[in-house]
Amino acid sequence: MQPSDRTEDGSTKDGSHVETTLAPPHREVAAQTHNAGRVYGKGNAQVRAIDGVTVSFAKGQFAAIMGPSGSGKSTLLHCMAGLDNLTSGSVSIGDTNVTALSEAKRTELRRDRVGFIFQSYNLVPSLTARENILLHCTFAKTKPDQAWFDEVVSTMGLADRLSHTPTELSGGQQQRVAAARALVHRPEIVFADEPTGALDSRSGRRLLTLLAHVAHDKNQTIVMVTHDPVAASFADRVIFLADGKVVQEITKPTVERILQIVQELDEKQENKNAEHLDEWGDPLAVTE
Amino acid sequence: MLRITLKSIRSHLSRFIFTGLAIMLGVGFVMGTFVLTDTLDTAIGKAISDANQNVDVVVQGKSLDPDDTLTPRPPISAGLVDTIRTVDSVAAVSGYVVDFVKILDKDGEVVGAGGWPFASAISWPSSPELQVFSFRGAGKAPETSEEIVLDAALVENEDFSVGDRIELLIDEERHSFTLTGVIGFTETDNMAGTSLAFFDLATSQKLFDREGQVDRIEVVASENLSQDELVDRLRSVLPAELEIITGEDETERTQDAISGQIAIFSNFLAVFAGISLFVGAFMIHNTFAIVVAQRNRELGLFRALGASRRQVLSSVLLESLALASIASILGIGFGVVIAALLQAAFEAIGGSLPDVAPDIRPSSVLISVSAGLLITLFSVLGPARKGAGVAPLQALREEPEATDMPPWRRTLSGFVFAFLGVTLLVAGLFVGDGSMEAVLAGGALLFLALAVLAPYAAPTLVRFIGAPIARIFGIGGSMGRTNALRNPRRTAATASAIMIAIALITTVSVIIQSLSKTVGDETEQALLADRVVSGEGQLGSISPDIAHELAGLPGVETVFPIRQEFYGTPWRLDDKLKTLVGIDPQGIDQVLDLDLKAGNLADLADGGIAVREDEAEDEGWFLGDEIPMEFSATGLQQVRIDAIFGARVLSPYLLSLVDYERNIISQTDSLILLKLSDEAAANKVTDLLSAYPDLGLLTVDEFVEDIRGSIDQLLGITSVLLGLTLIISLLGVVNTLALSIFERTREIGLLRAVGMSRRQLRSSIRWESVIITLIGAFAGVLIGLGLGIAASTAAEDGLTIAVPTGMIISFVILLTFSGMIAALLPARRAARLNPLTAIAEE
Repeated sequence: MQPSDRTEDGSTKDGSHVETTLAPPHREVAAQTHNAGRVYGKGNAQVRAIDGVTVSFAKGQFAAIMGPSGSGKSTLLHCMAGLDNLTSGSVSIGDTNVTALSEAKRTELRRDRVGFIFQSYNLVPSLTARENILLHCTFAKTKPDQAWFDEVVSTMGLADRLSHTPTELSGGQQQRVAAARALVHRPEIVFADEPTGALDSRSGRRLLTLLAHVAHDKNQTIVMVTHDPVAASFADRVIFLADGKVVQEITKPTVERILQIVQELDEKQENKNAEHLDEWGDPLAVTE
Repeated sequence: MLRITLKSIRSHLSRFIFTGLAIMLGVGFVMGTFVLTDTLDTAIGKAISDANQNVDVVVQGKSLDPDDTLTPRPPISAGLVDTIRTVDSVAAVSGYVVDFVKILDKDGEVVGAGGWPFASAISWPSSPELQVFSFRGAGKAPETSEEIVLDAALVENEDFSVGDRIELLIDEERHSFTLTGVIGFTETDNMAGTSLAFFDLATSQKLFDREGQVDRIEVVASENLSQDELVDRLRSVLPAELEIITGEDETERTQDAISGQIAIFSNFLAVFAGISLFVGAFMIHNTFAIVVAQRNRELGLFRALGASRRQVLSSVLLESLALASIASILGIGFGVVIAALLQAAFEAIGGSLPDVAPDIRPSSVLISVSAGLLITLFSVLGPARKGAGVAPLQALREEPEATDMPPWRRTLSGFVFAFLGVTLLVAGLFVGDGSMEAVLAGGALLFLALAVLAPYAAPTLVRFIGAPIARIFGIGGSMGRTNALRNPRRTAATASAIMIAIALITTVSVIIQSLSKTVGDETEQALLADRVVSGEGQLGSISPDIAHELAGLPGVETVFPIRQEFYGTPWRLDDKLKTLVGIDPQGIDQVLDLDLKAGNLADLADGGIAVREDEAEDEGWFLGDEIPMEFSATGLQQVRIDAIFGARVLSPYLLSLVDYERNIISQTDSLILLKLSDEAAANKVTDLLSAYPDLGLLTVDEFVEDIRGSIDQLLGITSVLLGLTLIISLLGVVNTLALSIFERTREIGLLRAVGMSRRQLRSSIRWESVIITLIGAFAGVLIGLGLGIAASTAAEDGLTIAVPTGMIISFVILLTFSGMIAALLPARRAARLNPLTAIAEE
């Protein structure tokens, strides 16, 4: 893992400055879950992907969700974005209880009020960058706000790439197109699922800087799932998940602090696994 | 959204080429049928109205069927021409003798033999107002019994010139004339494909046995009299038994009769056009099923980003409709080309049509395009709904979802289709007079059901047929088999189209072969004669004099003429038109075994009729009953049933020659059966027949072959038309392979990277193709045999089952090679893939 190249005061080595102050506590809530649970499968094959997660995200906050593989972080994100449905508890975006919505209403929610950035970009190869960015508007049959479109595009550094198709763009550019797509319809909240997972560290850093900038300067709520402590360190707040539960939460994260927590959680997990074995006895021991 | 759809098509254009081709072919066949039919209709209609343009009234004898304009009517007295001439306001009048001749070419062969050997023989119009044709070059009307005028098309094809001696056959007897002129119509060289021979009236009357008679009188009114008024005037002076109608009615009636003939032909073509669309539907369905599966991620992404189910559904449907629209428009053009080609073929074999532009009616375009669009929409609905049902989370997954067995609802619908299909088939075949529509709909449903259920059988069939291929052809063969097993639904859908084409070919060939065998066997069984005198294609129209001549030869023990007009001798029972033949009851037991059921054939001698058992049963007649027979010459007659027989040869009604001569106008024999004492007698007969170029002496075996040949010809035509369907289904194989290879790009790259040779790769794709083709062929042959044998057995009185094994085997061999050819293009593309880029491809 790369050591953090970011200093405590938030300025990066390359000199750009990122606002990291946490939003005031009285700010309105963009999204929250209450006792959220999601079970897959039936009977013995049942898997509890998330189990009683209660968490809320303030407007304008850039939050990261971390946790080992299988901790339920992606499931939590999918359920909050209206891509998947909880089996217990509730999720709301703004004042809307997503859990209570029909599939058609959830589709509208995804279209109008939510943005999503995928790890593998998920651009439509036959469409240009501009057309990809405008997909939400196409589906909603609305015209984009031209000024905002221009601003998003220039922020993402895509102004001269709009007529290119995805195959003509680098990975970093493609992911910035995806980010622009997630922002251009002014969603209440943007969900990002490992957005830097497929990028090299330089492109990843650029994207994260931009996301943080959008969150703080444009008051855009962003919730990002990541397993990369460096990526998480760009957020205002990091929530740690293990076995489908929130196990820890820190604000103003640094890479060192995150790494420390990850390590603690890993140790706990190992102890737990050992206990688990004790409970069942040593499988290698010969019973009389 | 439309733009996204169109972009998607453009970026995947290559995947749609073969599907578009299938739609185009299907629409083209439908359109071609319409255009050809309408063009022929218009052209022949125009030829008829041109020929009748100056005729105000037609006077002729009454036909048994008032709408029939094709079979001859009883002649009327030639003196009526003079009677009509004296009627007020008659500007011109002409009486005609109309009959048929066979023209001989310069080599002494009958022109058009094997097809339609007859030319219309017409007497020269006696008044110039009624002469709608004109001489081409120098020429004069026929005036003596030695002179003839022919049409320009015939003269040109046979390379005749004015002054030549023209040989022709009237009732098979040779006559010779001098060509004095060549005529043509304003726009055409002959009468819509029919050759014309003109004689002067007196010569016609003598040649065709109409002394003092004519067949038809055409009348021209003076300018201020309407056609209807002239009809009224003529009716008041002419005998009541004549038919007097206006020229307009005559034109219309003739046109309708021709249209009816054309409609039979076009319905036949339309059935095949429909079948090709139906087979095309499988390909459309398959392509979209594959393309939608390949686009799962993209459609899932659309859903994740907030596209509604309806938007996704309509984007797929829109995509298919855009494709279908383009393909249908091309199909319209293709159809016009097909029609033009067929028309050119018609003209090449001697038909001359008025120079009309292809008759492209808006309704034809509308129906053809709608057929293309609807069949596409119908085929795509399933895949589109599946695409719309893609879970948004699909977008986040890496691998496309594996395709599994059809859900139980589809399976259930398969069985429901099968049940409905069989019900409709049975109802269409056996309820009442049967219904072609019900049979076609039932067949379509049954095939649909088989296609729905095919995925269950596909894996077993692939293993079974693939086993020897895998064993013999090594790694390529066994990989081909594995790949064919990979997606049973896709393999089944591709093979289904081939299955349908092969099943249809097998069904039709079994039915026709059985029919042919049955007719052949029964004829052979019934014929006790040694030899048969027959005209080419059994279109003999033999003068009774020839039978008399034969009877005079030494060694000829029995001469048994079958008296029958070549278009069937008509009579009417109440409102049903039937046909009969005339026979001489003396000596019948020497030449025919009619499987007598009741009565005595010898009793026919003093006037009576023999009826076949099945007809007698249908009508509820018994031996000794008198039945009302209406003849065109003598009207209603009561005729006694003297015998009931079982053999299905000749005709269901055998009239004694005595009655035949009394009631039927023209006396010609279609066949003459002979009993000979020895071979020497046969040689004498052959010598005698050498004077009659269209007559041949056949052994019973040759005669049976001849009869079966004309039935087998039907098999040839249907096989060619169904072969077109097979080509469409093979396009489906190419298409599926190409799409599967696209899907497997990464895997192919990987295999190549770890050392698979191009040759091995190509061979695996080749065998995959052959296996898919062969399971379609195998299933098709089985189903076709089942349906063909069932239909033949169920046919009235049952047929002797005959399976054209050789033909079926050669079709399967042909298909194996076609399967290899189908794999060429996809295999080449796969082999060309660069392993590295293939692996990198997302």
